[in-house]
Amino acid sequence: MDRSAHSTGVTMLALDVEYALAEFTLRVKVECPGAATAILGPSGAGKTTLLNLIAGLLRPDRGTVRVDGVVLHASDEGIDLPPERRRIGYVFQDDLLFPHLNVEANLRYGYERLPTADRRFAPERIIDLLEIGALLQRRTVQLSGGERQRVALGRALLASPRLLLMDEPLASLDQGLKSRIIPYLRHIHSDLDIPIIYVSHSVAEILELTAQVMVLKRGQVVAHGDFFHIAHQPEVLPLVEEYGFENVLPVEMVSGDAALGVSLVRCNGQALKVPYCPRPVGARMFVGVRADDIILARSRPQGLSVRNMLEGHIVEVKDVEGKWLVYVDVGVEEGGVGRLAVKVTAEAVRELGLAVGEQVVCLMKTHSIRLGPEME
Amino acid sequence: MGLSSAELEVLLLSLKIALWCVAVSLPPGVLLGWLMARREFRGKALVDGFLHLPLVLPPVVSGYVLLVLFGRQGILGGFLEGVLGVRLAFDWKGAVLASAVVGFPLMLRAVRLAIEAVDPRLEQVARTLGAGRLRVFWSVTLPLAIHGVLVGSLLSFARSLGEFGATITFVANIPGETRTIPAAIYTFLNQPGGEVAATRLVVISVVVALVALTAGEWIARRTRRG
Amino acid sequence: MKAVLKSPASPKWRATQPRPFKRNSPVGGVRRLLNGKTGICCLLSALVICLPSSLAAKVVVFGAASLTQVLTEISAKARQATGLEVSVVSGGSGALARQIDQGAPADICFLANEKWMNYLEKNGRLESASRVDLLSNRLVVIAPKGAEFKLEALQGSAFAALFDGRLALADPAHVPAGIYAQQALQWLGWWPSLAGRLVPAVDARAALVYVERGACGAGVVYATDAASSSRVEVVATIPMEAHEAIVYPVALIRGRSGTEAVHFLEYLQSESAGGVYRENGFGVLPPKNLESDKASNNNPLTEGVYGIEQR
Repeated sequence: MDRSAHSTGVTMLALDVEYALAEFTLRVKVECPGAATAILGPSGAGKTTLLNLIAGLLRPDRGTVRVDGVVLHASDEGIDLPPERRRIGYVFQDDLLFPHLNVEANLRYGYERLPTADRRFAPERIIDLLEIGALLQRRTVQLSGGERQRVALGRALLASPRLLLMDEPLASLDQGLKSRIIPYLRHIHSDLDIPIIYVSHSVAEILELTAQVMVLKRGQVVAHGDFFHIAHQPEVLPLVEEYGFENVLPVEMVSGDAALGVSLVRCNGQALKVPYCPRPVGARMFVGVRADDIILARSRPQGLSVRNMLEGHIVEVKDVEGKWLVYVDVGVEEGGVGRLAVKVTAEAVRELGLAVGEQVVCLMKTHSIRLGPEME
Repeated sequence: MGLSSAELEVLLLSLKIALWCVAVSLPPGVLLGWLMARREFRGKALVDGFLHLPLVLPPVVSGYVLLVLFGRQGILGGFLEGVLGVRLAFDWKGAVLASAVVGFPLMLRAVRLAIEAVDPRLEQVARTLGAGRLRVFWSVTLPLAIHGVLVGSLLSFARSLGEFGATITFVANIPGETRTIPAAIYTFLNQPGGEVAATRLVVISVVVALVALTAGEWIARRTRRG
Repeated sequence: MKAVLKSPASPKWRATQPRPFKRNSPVGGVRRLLNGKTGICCLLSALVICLPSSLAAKVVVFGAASLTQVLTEISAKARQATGLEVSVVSGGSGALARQIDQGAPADICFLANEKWMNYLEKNGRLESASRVDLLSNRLVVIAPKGAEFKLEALQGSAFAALFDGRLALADPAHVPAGIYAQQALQWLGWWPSLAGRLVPAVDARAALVYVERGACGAGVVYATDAASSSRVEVVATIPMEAHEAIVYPVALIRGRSGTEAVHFLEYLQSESAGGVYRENGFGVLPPKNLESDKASNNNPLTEGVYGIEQR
């Protein structure tokens, strides 16, 4: 997964907008590099509003919107491009396919009016990429949920957007479907070279695509940057906690055994057993563990089914709203967070005498470790 | 039962006026239906009430207002005749106007409801795909609201076939020009012994109405979307 | 599961979300009004208010449209003189006759031509003995005020060329005024040139309105109609030979001849009524039947204190 900025290094999206909502005023001033940026935030934070401001479906009370150097909106200068001229694709959670057109007509809707010079992708290429060739003559009501979203994606892409906005496109799909469509999204990003802004609730989903994350809370950007650097910021942590990604570790694939259901990865000298995944030896990726799922021990226990034991020393113990978080430095520096966050009870803290400086062992079940996206 | 030539003339005139009434009502009906469905503006409720006036006014009153406005000496009538050479008073075109005015609220309401039922987000998606407002209207809104347009047209047509009060006040009861089926029935009823002729015309108009409604239902079924 | 019409967070959404029906149209407001207790009370009071007046009418007269004015005046006089309540129902002679034929509650009918009276008589609706030809009228040619065309000679003149636009008249197909007008136009020799330029109006009054408004360049209406309007001028009076005699017959309806009805019928033929007719431009026909000179007994309207002579 490409974690660096887009190849050209040009700022893809520059926003400085203000928009009054019922409960609060959205104020976002941010610059996103190319590639993909995810917007994370609780519901009602203004994520959809932000996307609509970028797409031109809403007009900011004041501010500027610049995409790829082109000014789409500038309040002071009175510039405001209507949505149809912005060339910004938009995929919604509800696919919003046109019910009165068949799949092919839907796909062609944005494509046919484009001047030939502006057409970046040939229809065949997109159709193949998304594997929707067999669906072309069908009416939209005959499609399944996953098919509909792929068609919606294809439709947006065929309009040759310079930026693709996606508003929780997978939210209404079940887990199996989601994991089948995410590869398509990755292909869109890597093969077609289109910058993406991806709004989601789900950290796992986001991390499949990108590590560049913007966290929005009540209309303000509370954090922006590489996920693994911002995940432990106080404003971000509660959000991230909900989704079980308090802890991320960069690892390298060592070996795997499908029969045993286990893969071995190395994390800065320490070995970890993770659920089997068919990635090549040497592949670098992230894994995540919930703070809830780590057990602390004063010494390496015997006779437990737990496969993973990471040794380290406690660097911080803090009480977060009645739950005690113990931060353990397991010697991981490069790429990931330097420490694991472990959630324990107050009683455990007292009984085990958990205090800064103490040596502990972090125990993690194989299946508590979630596999994250591959890094390049 | 064959139609006499006089009855045929009356029937064809009524049909001609009804079809023109629909044709004339459609553009403003669709435009205003879209406006009332999609736009907010100050005084909207007032405009809405005004557009529905012909529904609540006695048709004779509507006819009289038309006479004042579009008669030869009327404000608009004088302009139309003098500048555009179009004469409405005592002309079948005036009957078309009378029917169109009286039936307009029916057309408007049907169109408006149908457009309101179209998910506005579909229109937004279309705009992000590069369609300007006009293209969005033609390619997304209208096709999805076509059912309402159809219903509105049918109502306007049927209303025109039965329109009497406004027509007879505005353009009188001129045989061959403005003597529509209802006016002809009225004339026969006013003649002693005219009951038979009146009844024949009633049967004809019922048949026409049934044919129109059935045809409309058939077309509606074909265009209905789930 | 797909959400239907999910509303985005912002209330300032550019497109209008569908609004509830009631907010935008007056119908919602009216419906709410009629739903409440106030609504029901309003409805009931309206009915109660309307009821007494209809029950109080003692004599119901169905009169031709052109007689509306005179009948109203005469019934006012009758109420003043004797307290008799008269209700006047106006309409086209044809419509009225049909309604009477179907049992409409008229005591007296006063129509604008013989044909419809004969129709009622043939159907046995009248007290034949009470039938009297009471009034006459003239036809005139009118033009909008200020139109300025005067006819010198009538018969054979190129009348059609003297005015622009169409000629308004009551519908010759069935309205008495129109039938007489057509007869006159034919007699005058103007019919061929005018037949394609006619506006057959609902009745003579409507024809008058067309000419008043200048919608028609000229019209043929009753002299009484022309006299009642200040926005038309009489261009010529049509000679009586040109058409059938315009006769207004009046009669009692069979089976409804209460004393008040009989008295009012007599009053309609009295001198004070006569004054009203003449003021409005009608001609009063001399009674054909000498038997009617015999006064009916104890008629407070025509005998007694005021010493009104009965014609």
